[in-house]
Amino acid sequence: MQEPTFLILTALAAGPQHGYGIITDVLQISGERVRLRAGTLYAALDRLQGEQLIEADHEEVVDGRARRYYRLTNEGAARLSAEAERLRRNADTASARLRHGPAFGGAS
Amino acid sequence: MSALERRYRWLLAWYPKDHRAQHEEEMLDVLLAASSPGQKRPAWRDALDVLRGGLAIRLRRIVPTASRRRWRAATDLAALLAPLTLFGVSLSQATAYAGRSAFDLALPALAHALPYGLIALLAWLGRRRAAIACAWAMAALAAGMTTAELLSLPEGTIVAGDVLQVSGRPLIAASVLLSALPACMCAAMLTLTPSPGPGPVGSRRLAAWTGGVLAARLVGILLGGAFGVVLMPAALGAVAVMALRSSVGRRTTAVLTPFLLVAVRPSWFTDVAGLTAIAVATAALLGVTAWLARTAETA
Repeated sequence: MQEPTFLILTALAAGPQHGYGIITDVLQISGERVRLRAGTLYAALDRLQGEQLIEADHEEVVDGRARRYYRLTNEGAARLSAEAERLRRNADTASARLRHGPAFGGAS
Repeated sequence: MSALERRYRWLLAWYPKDHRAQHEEEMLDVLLAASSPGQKRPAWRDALDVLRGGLAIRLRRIVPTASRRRWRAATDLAALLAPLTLFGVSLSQATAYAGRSAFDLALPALAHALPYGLIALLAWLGRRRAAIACAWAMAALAAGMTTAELLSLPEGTIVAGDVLQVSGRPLIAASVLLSALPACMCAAMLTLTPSPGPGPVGSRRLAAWTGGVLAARLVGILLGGAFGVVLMPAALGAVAVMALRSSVGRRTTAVLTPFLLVAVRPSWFTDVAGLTAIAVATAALLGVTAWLARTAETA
C-alpha cells in the first residue's frame, strides 16, 4: 500500500470526513510532509471506492455547495489494520536490530 | 462566479461525465478552500494535478484494477519465462551437437546457455536487480561478440550461419541488432515488470512444467526419429492448453509472443524493416503492459 493511500485511510479511521478535511488531516498526521492536491485526492478516492475500502457517508450543504463525507468500510478498516500491523512489525524489527546490533556512533 | 472558479471548472470539464455529476462541486469546494485569498488563476502544479487525476480516473474506467493485477502477474511470469526459454533453446542446441559428437560446437552452446540459466534462477529467487544486471550484460556481450565477428570478415563476404545472411557492410547493423535482440527483450521485460517470478502459478507448478518441456525437448533430440519429433510439440501443447485456459496465462502468452517469435524464428527478422517492426511492436506491447502492471496496487 502506498503512503498517500495509507494516510487517507488513516484519516478516515477516526470518522467520516469531507475532501478538504482529509487533506488537512493527512497534512497533520504526516507531520506537514504529505500535502495532497485535489486531483490526487479524488483519483485516490475514486480508486478506493472502486475497491470498496471507503464509501460515501452523508452530504452537508455549506455556502450553497454540497460537501460529501466519506467513511471507511469494514473491508477498508481490515486492510488498514493489516497494513498497520505489517509496518509495526517492520519498525519493531528495525528497532530491535539497532538495539542489539553493533553500536553506531552518536546517541544511544 | 469568480475568475478562479471559472478556470477550475474549465479544468474539471476533462473528467468523465459520471464523475463530474457526482464530484465536480465538492472538488471545486476543495480547490477553492485550498486557494489563497485574491488568487485569480490556478497554480500550475494544482492545474497539472487536476488534469493528472482526471487522466487516472479515465484510465481506471478503461482497464479495471482486477484486470491490472492479472497483467501484473502476467508480466512478472513472462519476465521469468523469457530467460528460461533462451536457456532451454541454447541447452537443446548443445544437446543436439553433443548427440552428434560435435563437442567443439556443443561447448560454446552450453556456455551460451548457462548465463540465461543464471538469469532465470536469479529472477525465480526474487533477486530482481541482479537478474536485470546480468541480462543487460548478456545483451551487450551478444552484440559485442557479433560485432567483433563481423568486423573480422573481409568486405563482401557472404555468411550463411544459423540465421545471419550478411553480404558486405549494409546488413551488419541488422545482424548485430538481431543477435542482441532476444537478450535485450529479456532484459527489458525484467526491467519493466515490478517483481519477476512465478507469481500465482507457484514455484512448484512452474518447475514441473519447465522440467517437463525441457525433458521432452532433450529426450526428443537424443532419440531422434518420429517419436522425437512429436515429443516436444506434445509437451508444449499441453502447457499451452493449460496456459490458455486461465486469464493470467492468456495475458502471459500475449506478453511473450514477440519475444518467442524472435527467439525461436530469428530468420524472419533478418532485414532492417522486419527488425524495426518487431522492435517497435515489442516496445509498445511491453510499455503498455508494464504500465498496466505497475499501476495495479497490490493488496
